[in-house]
Amino acid sequence: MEKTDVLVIGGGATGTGVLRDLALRGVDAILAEQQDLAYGTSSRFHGLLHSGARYAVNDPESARECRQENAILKRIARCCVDDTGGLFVLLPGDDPGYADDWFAACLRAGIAVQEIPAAEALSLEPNLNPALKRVFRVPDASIDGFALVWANVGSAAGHGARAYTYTRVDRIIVRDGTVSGALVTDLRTGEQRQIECRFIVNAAGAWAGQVARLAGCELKILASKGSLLVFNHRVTNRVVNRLRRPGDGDIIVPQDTVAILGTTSVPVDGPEHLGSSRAEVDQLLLLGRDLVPGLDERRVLRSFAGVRPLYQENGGEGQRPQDGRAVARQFALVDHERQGVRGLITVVGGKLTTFRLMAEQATNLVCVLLEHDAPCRTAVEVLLPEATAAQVRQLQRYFSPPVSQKMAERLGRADLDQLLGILSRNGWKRQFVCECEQVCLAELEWRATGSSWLRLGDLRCRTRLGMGTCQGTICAARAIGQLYQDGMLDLGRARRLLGEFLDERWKGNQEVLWGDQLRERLYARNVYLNLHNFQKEADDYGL
Amino acid sequence: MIMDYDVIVIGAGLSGLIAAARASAGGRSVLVLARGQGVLALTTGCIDILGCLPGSEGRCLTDVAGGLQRLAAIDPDHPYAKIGLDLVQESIEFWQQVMPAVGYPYCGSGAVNYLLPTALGTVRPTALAPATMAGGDIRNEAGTLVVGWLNLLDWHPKLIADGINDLRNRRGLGGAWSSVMLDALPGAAPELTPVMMARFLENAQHLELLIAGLRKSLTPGTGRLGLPAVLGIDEGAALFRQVETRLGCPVFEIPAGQPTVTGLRLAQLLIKFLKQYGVGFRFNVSVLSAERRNGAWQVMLDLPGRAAVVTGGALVLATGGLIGRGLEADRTQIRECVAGLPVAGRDLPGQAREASGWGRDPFAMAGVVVDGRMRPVATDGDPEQYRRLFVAGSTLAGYDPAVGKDGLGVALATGYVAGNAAATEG
Ligand SMILES: Cc1cc2nc3c(=O)[nH]c(=O)nc-3n(C[C@H](O)[C@H](O)[C@H](O)COP(=O)(O)OP(=O)(O)OC[C@H]3O[C@@H](n4cnc5c(N)ncnc54)[C@H](O)[C@@H]3O)c2cc1C
Ligand SMILES: Cc1cc2nc3c(=O)[nH]c(=O)nc-3n(C[C@H](O)[C@H](O)[C@H](O)COP(=O)(O)OP(=O)(O)OC[C@H]3O[C@@H](n4cnc5c(N)ncnc54)[C@H](O)[C@@H]3O)c2cc1C
Repeated sequence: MEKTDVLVIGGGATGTGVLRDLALRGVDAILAEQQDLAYGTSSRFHGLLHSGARYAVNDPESARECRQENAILKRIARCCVDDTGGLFVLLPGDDPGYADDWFAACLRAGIAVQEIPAAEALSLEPNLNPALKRVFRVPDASIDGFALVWANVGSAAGHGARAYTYTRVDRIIVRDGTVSGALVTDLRTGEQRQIECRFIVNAAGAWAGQVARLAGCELKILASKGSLLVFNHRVTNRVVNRLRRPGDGDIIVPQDTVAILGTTSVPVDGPEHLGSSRAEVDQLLLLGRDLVPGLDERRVLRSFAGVRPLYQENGGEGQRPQDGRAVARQFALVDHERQGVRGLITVVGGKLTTFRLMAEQATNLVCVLLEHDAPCRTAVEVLLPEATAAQVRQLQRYFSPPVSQKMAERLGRADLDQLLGILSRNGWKRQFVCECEQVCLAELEWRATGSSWLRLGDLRCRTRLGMGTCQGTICAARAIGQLYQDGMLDLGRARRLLGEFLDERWKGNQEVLWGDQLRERLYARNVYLNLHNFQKEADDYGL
Repeated sequence: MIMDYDVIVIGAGLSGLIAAARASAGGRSVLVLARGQGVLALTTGCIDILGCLPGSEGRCLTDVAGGLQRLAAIDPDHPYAKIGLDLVQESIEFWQQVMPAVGYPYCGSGAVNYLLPTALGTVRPTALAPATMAGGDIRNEAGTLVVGWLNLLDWHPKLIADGINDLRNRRGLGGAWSSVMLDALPGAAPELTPVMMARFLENAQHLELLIAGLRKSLTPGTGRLGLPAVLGIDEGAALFRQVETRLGCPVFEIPAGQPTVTGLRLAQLLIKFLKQYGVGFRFNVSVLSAERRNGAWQVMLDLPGRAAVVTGGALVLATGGLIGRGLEADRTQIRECVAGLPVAGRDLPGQAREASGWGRDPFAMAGVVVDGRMRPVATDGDPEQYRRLFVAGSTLAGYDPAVGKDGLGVALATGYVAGNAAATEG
């Protein structure tokens, strides 16, 4: 039976952050994630590395935490952060008095806020509403949740930690009031096995209530869904926030080649099977066009939704929050000993921006309980060692200087070594499998061999393949073809993966079918169903 | 530019080209106005008449003639049912006559389907295939070698060979396909799309290199060679014939990438042929609107820096569907862009839907409703306003080529009827 000191449940930002922290402190740990890493809210979010400004008025404590973590992540996680900077924009009709309160609150929270002339803002961001009244610069940035979670696990693995994906925790074993292990199921094989451990950290996000219940503990988590829209280009080059009391549809975050508008806030029953409704899409577009006139005419690639877990300290008698935003966004650290289970702690809530701090505090608690004395190093140790100048030069043998630069920033030193190794053996693997996001065959090969994956979507998350404008129309077939050619798939799996991938894409754009995106969907359907006569179900073609 | 024609065709997709050919054959002066080349260059280049009946869940149809009878009975809104099967047959015969004259002959009677391999290792039913492709039918017993080159994108020979063997096995035929991957062709770029490779091979020396490499990979068991469709664009089937003769082994092409070489080849050869035949073309122009005034059609063009008007006695609207931009959808409705014709399925964008993407798609089915002569059915207003206006191709309602495998067939048949009508109806 496999043994470890600490089992971490949940492969989002929080769980992977805890795994890394434990590993850096020399504690033996295993992480179990039921699906792929970042399956939960850590990929279904807005991508904003908060400066804290959004919370300055309502939640100064959160604002200060964000400010500190924002600075730390910009230092240690350059591979996942695009330091775009952010703007807060006061629009006509919004309360001018709020702007003054907000400005003062930002200063109190220590956030580097600076007012700039409206004309300057419009020259920086020409798409903004020209009627804007006031504009402030803040240190907001854009952060890639997939890359962050993978970097956390990569770093942890470098220090001996293990992470299992598609491994669901089904039962927490408690003996004499103390956690002694967990029963997990490998979703790929259906096999159950036991992992023995002394402590469990429940970092299951919106599922945290369910996980606590596996040990017989009560944990009140309310779920609030937020929907987001992905535009096919960087509508703005900086994060843009509407300067008013936080509400729906008031933030645009550029992410690599696209931009994301969000969010809504709708109470829901649980974390699974969520999409965004047409009403939410309409509402977001209506609000978004206040910030960027004509935004509702621009091309939306897809919509998606994530779930905020809202921890209810005092039970709340199952009542639903009227507005998820009214419930504090700070995180909670719960030691279940007071419910009679020693060795189980839950860390839940907060924001992706504060994941490291949450992990630090959770790990502190674990270390106290383990009587293990080691300081936290996650704030100082770089997450992913950066590419060297020599590596960038080597890349330039295969790619243009700007492409090489971008790849080097995205991949980091260790992955680049692998990539360059593949390229030196097979120079032709410089070919791009995804032209929108500049993912080459060598990167696909490395991700497909160097990590365990189940779906084509998993490789998409590791590489960004298919995330750009064409949304996989060209590159899905290329990726499947190459993986097959390389002997990594059998025929049945190749067909299944492609079918699943298309299903997922078509579900994602179901509510945004107009204009160019409708055209793209009909085109993609014809490429797969017509040109290739690809059939998901009847794969014998009635022959 | 002359400003007055007997027939104006808007759109240079297959339906527009066929309508222009027919109107011109009827002795009329014809002008084709088009923003771009249409969807043709994205297709396999095969004219699908009917590959799959509605509700048959992806089963390949082999008996096209029988399938058409059945379709006409169960699906009266399908364009084939509207024009009648005799005219569908006539349009197929027209195709078979015209393509040898174009210098790019097609194979197939139109009554049965070939089962041709795809670049994804699946099979595709089609009725009329260019001579360069028709030899690839998967039921053929010959030992088949699929060849690839490392520097060619969108081409995975092993996936094709294994996929086809799998289908052959299901049919009890036994696997007879194998694959080989050759090194990059000397002198070619490290990554080539099929279209780039086709251009590369139009150089005689490069073609020699290709033939030499292919010869080396032939084994005694090789009964035929499956190549990506890369054998030149401008010269039709000439390179194909050359390769086949020099190797002494049957060869066939499988289209790959976007655009495809077989699609692009067909589009360019047809346009060249029609130009020689006297049809006028004007590309890179958008038609803003068309209106019937004083007994003629006035077509407003969006030219750089100015607007212009051309007039025609009859108008063929062959502007494509939502993909070709003959139809546009905004967040609440679909409209027909040039003449403002009524659209069946107009309110789709605002409606709640459950479309999986795999079955017949309501958006693909949307379009203009016509009678058997391709005349729009007026739902309101003055019937005179649509006089001598004929609609063809994917602007029409009632079919979804992604599922029915009837796209270019409908374009051919409806273009044929519309072109005839525009040339004759007074
Ligand atoms: C719409 C929206 C927008 C947001 N935008 C931002 C933003 O811009 N900036 C920001 O900083 N924060 C943002 N947040 C908040 C942020 O995304 C979350 O706080 C953060 O991602 C939570 O991470 P987590 O690791 O705690 O949870 P999750 O990422 O949800 O991870 C929990 C994981 O546990 C796994 N799991 C569950 N049950 C089991 C089990 N039984 N066994 C094994 N594994 C299990 C799940 O599969 C899941 O992967 C947003 C949230 C939402 C909903
Ligand atoms: C990827 C793909 C693969 C396919 N594969 C096959 C296949 O292998 N076999 C098959 O039979 N079918 C196939 N189809 C279906 C088939 O291609 C279409 O049904 C058919 O080509 C439609 O032809 P069309 O003439 O109606 O329209 P289009 O080809 O779309 O032509 C429309 C023309 O109108 C022009 N136009 C539009 N609006 C204006 C305007 N306002 N002013 C001026 N010009 C305008 C356009 O520029 C274009 O020239 C495929 C379709 C796709 C998308």
